[in-house]
Amino acid sequence: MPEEIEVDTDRLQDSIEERRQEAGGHEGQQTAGSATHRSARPRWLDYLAISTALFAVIAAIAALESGNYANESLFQANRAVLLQTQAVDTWSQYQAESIKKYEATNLVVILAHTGGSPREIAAAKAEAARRQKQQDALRPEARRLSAETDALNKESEGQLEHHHRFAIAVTLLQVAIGLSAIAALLSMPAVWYFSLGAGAFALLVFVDGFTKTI
Amino acid sequence: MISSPAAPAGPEVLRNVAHLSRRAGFGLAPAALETLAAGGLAAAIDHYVDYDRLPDPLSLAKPRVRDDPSNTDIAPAQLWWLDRMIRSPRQLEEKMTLFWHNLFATSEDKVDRPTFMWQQNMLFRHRALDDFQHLLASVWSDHAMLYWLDGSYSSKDSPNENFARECMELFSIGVGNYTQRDVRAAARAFTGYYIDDSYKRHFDPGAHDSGIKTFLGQTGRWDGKDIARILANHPACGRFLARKLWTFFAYERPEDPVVEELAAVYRSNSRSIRAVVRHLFGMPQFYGPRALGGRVKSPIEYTVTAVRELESRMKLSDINDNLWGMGQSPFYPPNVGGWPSGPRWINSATMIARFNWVAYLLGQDEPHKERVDHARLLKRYDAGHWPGTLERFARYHLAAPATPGTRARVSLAAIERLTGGRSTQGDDAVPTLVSALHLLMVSPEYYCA
Repeated sequence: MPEEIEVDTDRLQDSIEERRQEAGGHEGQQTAGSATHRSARPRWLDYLAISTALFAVIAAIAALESGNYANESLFQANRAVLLQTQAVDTWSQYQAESIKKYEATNLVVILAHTGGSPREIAAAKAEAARRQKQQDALRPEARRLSAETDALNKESEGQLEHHHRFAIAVTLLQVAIGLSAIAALLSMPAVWYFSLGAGAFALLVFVDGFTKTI
Repeated sequence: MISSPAAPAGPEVLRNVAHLSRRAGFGLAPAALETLAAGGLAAAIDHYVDYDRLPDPLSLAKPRVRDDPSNTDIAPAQLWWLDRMIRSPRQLEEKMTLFWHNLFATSEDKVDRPTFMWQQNMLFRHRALDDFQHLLASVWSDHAMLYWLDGSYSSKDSPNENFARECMELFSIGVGNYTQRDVRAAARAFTGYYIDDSYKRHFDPGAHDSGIKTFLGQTGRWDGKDIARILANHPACGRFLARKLWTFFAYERPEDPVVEELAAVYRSNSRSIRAVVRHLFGMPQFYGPRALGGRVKSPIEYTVTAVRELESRMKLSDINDNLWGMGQSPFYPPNVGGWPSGPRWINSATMIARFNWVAYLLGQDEPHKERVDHARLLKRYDAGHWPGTLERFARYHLAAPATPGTRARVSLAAIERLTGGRSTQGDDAVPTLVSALHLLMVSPEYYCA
C-alpha cells in the first residue's frame, strides 16, 4: 500500500476563523449585531473560505483516487511479475526441450555413423520427435503468458498515469490552500487570486486524472 | 616434418590420409594434408608410425610442476601435454600416450603428485610403441600407479590385490581369463615396493614375497616382471589389446576376424605395439564405411583437432579450462576403467560446452587474430557461394558427407537468418563464414572422426 496523501486543512480553517473573528469582533458581539459585523468584514474573505473549503474537498477526493490508482497499479504490476516468471519458466523449458531435441537429433546422426543399432537410432528419433512435440505445446503457452504479461504491465503503467495526475492535483490544491491561508492571514487578496489560479489548474488536472486526455 | 607435395592426391587417397591423420594424430590443416596425401597412403602410414625419425622440436623437459609434497597444481603438466598434442610432429606418439593414459587410467585426483603424473606420462611416451611386456612391467613400479592402485607398502604379510586384479581385468587379458587364485598369486608377486615420506620409491626385498606361486598355470618364484611377462604372452592379451587399439583408432565393437588378425600380428612380432599399429593402419577395414566417421571425438581429440585444423594459436589454458566442461581433463580419468567412449561423449551439457568453445575459438563475438586468422579462413574456405564452402570444409575436415539435416541447418539461408541477413560478400563475408564454420564444427558430422 502506498502512503496515503493527506490534506491537512485543520490549521488553515482555524487561522481563517481567527481572521474572521478579528475582522468581526468576538462571538457575543457577532450574535448581537451580526449584520453590522458582516458588513465590516471584507467580503472576499467569505469567498476565500468557500473556495478553500472546495479545494479541500476536491483535494480529499483526488488523494483518495490517487491512492486507489497507485494500489491498482501495484496490484497489476505484481500480477505481471508473477506471469512474467511463469512465462520465463515456460520459455526456459521450451529452450531446454530445444537443446534436448538437438541432442537427440545429433545422436541419430552419430549413431548412424558409429554403428548404433536400429533400435537405438529409432529410440533417438522418437526422443527427438517427443521433444519437438513438447516444444510445439510450450510455444503458444509461453507466447500467451508473455502477451498477458505485456498487457498487465501496460495496464499498470496506465493506472500509474492516473495516479500521477491525481497526485499532481493534490499537490496543486495544497499549494492553493496554503496561498489562501497566507492571503487570509496577511489580508492580501492578490495572493488569494494566485490561490484561485492554482486551484483552477488543479481542477483541470483533477478532471484529467479521470479522463487522461491531456 | 611433412615435405612439399609432388602432385595432388586423388580424392580417395586424400580422404584416406585425412582419415588417418584424424586417427593416428589430431588432424591436419589443409595444406599439410594435401602434402602428406601427395606421397600416398603407405608413406603417410610410415610417416605416422615411424615418428622417431622425425625431429622433436618441443621440449620433453619436466613442466613447471613443483616437487614439494604440498604441490597439487597439475595445470603446467596439462598445458605441456596439450602443447605437445597440438604442435608435436610426432603425432602418433602423443596419440599413443593418450591411449595408454586411458588404458592404465591413473588420476591425479588420488595420486595428488603432478610430478608423478608427468613421469607416468613420459613412461607411456617412451614405451608408446614398445614391447607391451616391458610397458606392463614398468607400470607395476610406476610412482603414480603405486599410489593409484595401492601398490605402495603392499608386502608379503598383507599383499594388496588391487593392482593385481586391475592388471588382469583392465590392463592385459580381461575378465574371464583368470581366477581369484591368480589374483592372489599376482598380488604376492607385486609386493615389495613402497614410497617413503619424502616421496622416494624403494624396493624392499624383505617385504617382497619371493615364495613359489602358481600364476595362470605357471609355477615359479615369480616377481612383478615375471607376471608382466606371463600376462603379455597370454593368448588373451593379444586379443585384448587388439580390441582396445581397434576401438581407440577405428570403431567400437570390432568384428572377431579383425581382432584375431591383429592379435596374430601381436604374437608374431614379439608383442610389438608398433607392428600392431602399423598393421592396423594398413587394414582395408580401417578405411571402410564403418570406420570413416565411425568414432566420436573425445573432448581432447575434438579441441586439439579443431585447433590444428584451423591453425589456431589459442592459449593452451583456453583449451584446458574448457576440457572440464566437456568431460575430459588430462590426468583426470573418472576411474580405473578410463573415460567413456562413443556417443556417451555427447549430452546436453557437453554439447553446449563444445558449442561455446568453438564460438570462442572462431572469435565470433570478439575477433582475436591469435585464436584464429579470419583472413586465412576466408582464403581457405570461402568459395563465394555456400555449397562450395561446405564442400571445401568437408573435403578436409569431415569424415563422412554432411547429412541433409546438417546441410539445411548450416545452409546459407539459415546463416543469413542468424547473422541478421548478411550476405557472403564484402564486409559481411567474414561473419557469415565464421557462422558457417561454427555451425559445421558443432555438427554431428564434425563430432565424429
